[in-house]
Formats: sequence, structure tokens, C-alpha cells
Amino acid sequence: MNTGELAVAGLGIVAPGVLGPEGALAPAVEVSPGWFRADVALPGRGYRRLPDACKYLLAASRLAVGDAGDRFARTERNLRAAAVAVNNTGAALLEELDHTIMREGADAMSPSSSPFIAMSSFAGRLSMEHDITGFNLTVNSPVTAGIEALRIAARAVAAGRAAAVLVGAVEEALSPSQATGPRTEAGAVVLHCEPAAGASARYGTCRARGAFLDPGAAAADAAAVLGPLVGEDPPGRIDAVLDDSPVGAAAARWLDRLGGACEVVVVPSPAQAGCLAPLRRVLGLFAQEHPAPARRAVLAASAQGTLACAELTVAPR
Amino acid sequence: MNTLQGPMDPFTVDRRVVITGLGAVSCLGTGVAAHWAGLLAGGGEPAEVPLPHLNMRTTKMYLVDRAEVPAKPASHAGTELGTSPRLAVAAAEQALTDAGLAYGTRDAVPVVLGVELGNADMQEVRRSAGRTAWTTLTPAAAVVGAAIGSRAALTSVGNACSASGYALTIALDMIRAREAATVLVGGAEGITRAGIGAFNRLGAADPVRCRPFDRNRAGTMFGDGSAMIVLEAAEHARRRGARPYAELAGAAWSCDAYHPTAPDPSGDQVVRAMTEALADARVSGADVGCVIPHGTGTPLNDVVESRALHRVFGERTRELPLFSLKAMIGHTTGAAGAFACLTATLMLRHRQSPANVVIDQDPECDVWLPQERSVPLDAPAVLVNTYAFGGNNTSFVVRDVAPQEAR
Repeated sequence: MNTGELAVAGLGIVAPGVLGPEGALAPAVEVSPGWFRADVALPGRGYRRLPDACKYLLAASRLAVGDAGDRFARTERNLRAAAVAVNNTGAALLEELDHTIMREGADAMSPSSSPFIAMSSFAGRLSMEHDITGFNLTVNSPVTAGIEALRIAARAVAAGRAAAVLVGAVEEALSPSQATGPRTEAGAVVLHCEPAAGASARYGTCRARGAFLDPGAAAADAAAVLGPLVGEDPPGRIDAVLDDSPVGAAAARWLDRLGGACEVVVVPSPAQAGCLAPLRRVLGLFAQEHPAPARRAVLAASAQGTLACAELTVAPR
Repeated sequence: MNTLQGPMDPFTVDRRVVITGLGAVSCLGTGVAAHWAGLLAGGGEPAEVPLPHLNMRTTKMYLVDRAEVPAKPASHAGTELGTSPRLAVAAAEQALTDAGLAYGTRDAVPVVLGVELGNADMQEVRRSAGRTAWTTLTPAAAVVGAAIGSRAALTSVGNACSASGYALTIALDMIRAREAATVLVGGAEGITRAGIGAFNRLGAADPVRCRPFDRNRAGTMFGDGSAMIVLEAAEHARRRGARPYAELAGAAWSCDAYHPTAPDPSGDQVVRAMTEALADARVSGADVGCVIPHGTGTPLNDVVESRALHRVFGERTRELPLFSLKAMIGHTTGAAGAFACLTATLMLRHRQSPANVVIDQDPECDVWLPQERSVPLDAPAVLVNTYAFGGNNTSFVVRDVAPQEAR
């Protein structure tokens, strides 16, 4: 499949307890008050009224763009693009706005918050921040959307729709009333990506694929679906973001059967997980230092049945 | 086999992407014939949204007849389903059947949907009843994938009102990139209290009806429904004997990078999207027989788009018919681009653009909206625009296929 290949030239992450890309592979921690200092991450005017998730994304994008030097600014604005994954991102705000309507009426809604009824608005601010006029795309499948964003970005770059893409994922914690378990995600990760050919692959290159495993037939169909997705030549290590749904369980059993062919690192995913963890693993694997090129993969599965696999070649550093 | 590699690669013969199946459920009814008949009859009428606690000025939408909303599937992977995913499954089945792709032959068909607040009505009904646990708003692509028997990649695009315009372009690129020979693409949206509430608060909800280009327009009015399209590599369609309706000939994206909700008054990026879509389709302005504008009915959008059309089509703009689809089915947000693609396809098939809803046209919107009668389509292409919050723009071109190939 000719899905295109991206070079990764910059990394940015904003997450509780994580100081930089090197810490991205650490287990996710609970969100605690004050973990994110917007005044430090986003000094200047125009950010105060933005929802927290929007601030996380802008902060992570600044880090990724800065990490890549001035490459994004040097890219012609019509060839700058963004592909951003969201899932639970606006859930708490949506609940708040809807409660306002129910109790007081729509006139009592915050005018600055109301546009964020559209989940794409969280990514929309990104284009204004970095003068992105190529495209600004939002994808929203549970769990797998971050890797889907990589896949769409790679295809769009291959089609000539962009020459530099900020590929990101952002989530905001669910409200206490919405959450049915621990560890809902918060934070953002952003990768500065370019076409693999002729670009700076400072951290390495990646390509992504997708598939679907019907939850109702997951146990029977796992091999037929996951085999082609992962490929005949598995990498040295697969990080698998899996929940305990029938799809996650079937994927875990299939990975077990790979035996010693590769190292499998299972990253447990809460039932209400957003889409941050898989792209965070991608970022974390790129941030690791290797003396020689290393092949890695991140596999993600949602309870709904979407599957995504990012295949990475980590550059020696 | 759906992937396209090796000596049988159909793109060595023909790189076109054609439309071989259509499906729709909207306020005009269920099925493509009902959609076209509804357009010729002048479109639907707004109705009260059947949700509790609608404490706002505008409480109407262009609604699918509730008797035509399928009861199933009621849930998917433990998630209760609102109207949007159920409408999506119904429209998907229509489109695949129309394309001659029976269940059991669809395992390699990817699904690409534009869905923004798809399952909001389920969330809102639960919230009104005091049930607050969160589930995803966007299960529709997975629900459709399961219903049709796909094992291929699923993509859910959330670019608000341009979501299915983006979805169509992604599907086009997938086929051009030889990832798939056939893609099911479309959009689906349900009813939403929070969505209407936000537009009320922003002063962008018309209490009367959806009145694009009318001097008294006061915002938009939503509609629910789902439109689905089967896109296929032309050579693949030919080999299996499928007769295409039309060709999705080209598409382009752009972003204003200007304001969270308002369009850039300069219109530079919407002009670029239209211009690049025409170039991608390898057609000139003279080849365009009709434009389906984004035309939401919000005051600035319609003026900016009208001026942008003049920049693209020049003097010909006043003779170029526009068909204001949202005046007939409302603004179906994430599904709007799919409904417009489907409508453009039917225009090409029937060689006409239906008469527009009668309006008192705003002189600031200096475009031609034929209202007396339908007009013949005298050129081979239809241009479609979709725009969204954040200045996210797509334009795409649907055009005729060779007469011997067409349905």
C-alpha cells in the first residue's frame, strides 16, 4: 500500500508529570490541579479564554515547531498543514454548555466557549497560531485517531497537499460525573512531519495503516485482520495500546502468538480512553536514542473495532 | 481483492475515480429517488426538534421523518446509538447495494465519514435523564464498518461543517494512492440541543428557515440525515461491470487561518480551494454548469462566497446557476459535503439543476439563483464548496463520465 512516508523533525508533548519527549513512555499519571501552567507555556495575550485542551495543543505545537528549528516558518504558508486527533477533548465543556442550556437557556452560554461545541474548534486555533493555510484536519475515532492523523497526513503530503504537517492528538480530562473509571487522559502531543524524501528525518520516519475488527467477531477474525495490519516482518518492538474490550483482548491474544519474534509492550488503556496514548507512544519511541536505526511499531485498538498501526524507523542519535 | 498493486493495477489504464453508488436519508425521505423528487418539489420544511429542555429562540431543524429513522442498530460495542449512526447504516446499505456490492464482497472497502456531533442526541437524552457517563460522540464509522462487513481502515473526520468535504477528498486520495479500489464515503449527523444552542448564542441560528443569500437571512438552520457515496477506481468499476453515475474529478483543501468562527472577508483561501479543485479536475470555469455553494445563510459567509465566486468565474458568474441545497434540507453540518456531492451527481444524471427555493435575494450576494424553474445543465461539471469553523475549506468537482459508461 502506498500510504506515504513521513519524516519526523520535531517533537512536542504536554502531559501531567512529563517534562519532555524523553519521558513520554512513562506510565500516564492522574491529572492533578495546576499540572499545566498556561502562563508559562503560552505567554502573551489571547489565550486566557481558550479551553484547557486548546491550550495544551498550542503549547505542544510550539514545542514541536521549536524543536524542528525554523523549518515550519520557512515552509510556504499554503503548504503548512495540521492533522489533529480528538475524542474526549470537548466532553467536559460540552456537558457544561448543555447543562447551561437545560438550566438557564442558551442565552446564558459563554460566547467564548460556544464555538467549541464543534470539536474541530480545538484544532482550529492552531492554524491561526502558525499561519497554516494548507489544511487543518480533525479526526475523531476513539483511541486510534492519533495514528489515523499520521496516516492522513502522510497521504496528503504524498498527494502534494502539504509540505509540512503538525500531526497531533489532544485530550482533556472527563468531568467527575462523566468518568466511570480512573485515568482519563489530558494533554497533547505534536509531531512536526515532512515528506520522507529530501527532508530532515532527525528522529526517523514513519508510515501508518488501519483496519477494522468487528467487535462481534473479534475473537474469530483477529489473525485475518491483524496479520496484514502488522505485516509479515514485524519490527523489533511493538507497543500495543489495548483496552479490555473484546477487540483489545483479541489483539492481545494475537500478539502473544507472535512469540519471540518481537518484544511486545502492552499499554493498558482505560475504557474511556481518548486518543492520546498511541501518539504519545509514537513520540516516545522517536525520542529514544539508538546507535543504529531501529524499527518500532505502535498498535492501537478501540473497543469500537478501529485498529491503527504506526511503523517507525527510529534514526540513530 | 481491493488493493491495487501488481500487473492488474487498474491505474495503469485509467486514473479516474468514479461514483458508482448513492444512498441518502434526509428530510426529503429515504433513498436517492426521494431525495431528487424532494428537490424538484421545493425541499422540506423545518419542524420542532424532539429533544427536551430546548431553552432557546430557534428550536427547529429540517428533520428526517422520525418514522423513517431505523430502530437498529441500537448499540455498538456497548455504546448506545442515537439517530446519526443508525441513519448512516441505512444510507450506507443503500449506496453499496446501488453499486452492486453485496454483503460478503465488502471486506476490503474502507469507510471514511464526516461526523462532528453525530451521537449527541443520545448523550443529550441521557443527560436530561440524569445519566452522565460519557461515551464517544463519533462511533458512526465503526458502526457502519461492522454493518457492512468491512475489515479495512475506517476514518472519522470531524471538521465540523466541512467534514464530509474533507472525507470525500481523503477517499479520492486513497484511491489515487492505490490503497483501495473502492471506498464508502459520506457523512451523518443527528439532532443536537447543544449544537443548536451554541448557534443561538452566537446569533447564527435563523428562527424562520435556512435562507441562504436572502436579504433577511439570520443565520443557519440545521438538518439531520446521512448521505453516502461509493467511490471507485474507474477501471475497477469497468471490470466488474458497474456503470458509474459520474466522476469525482478533483478536490482541494485550504484554511483561512483567520478567525475561530468567521470567514476571512478577503475570501483568498476559498478562492484558492475552488481554483485548485478545478485545476485538479482538469476543467476550466467554462466547464462548470452549476455550483452548489456552501451557502449557510449566515450573513457574512454568503457575501464572502458570492464575491469569491466572482473572482473565480469572472463575468460568467451572473449566468452561472447556483443551487442552494441548504435551503431545502437545512445545514446538515458534517454531512453537508456528502449531500452536496450526491446532489451534484444527480444533477449530472438528470441534466438539470432544480429550481431554488424562492428568496428575496440580498443584492450583496450578486449570484444567480434560478427560482422560477429548473435550468438545464449545459456544461459537464458541478463545483461544490464546503466551509467550516476555523476557516476549514474544501472544494470539489463532480463531472460527467463518457456517455457509453454512464448510467
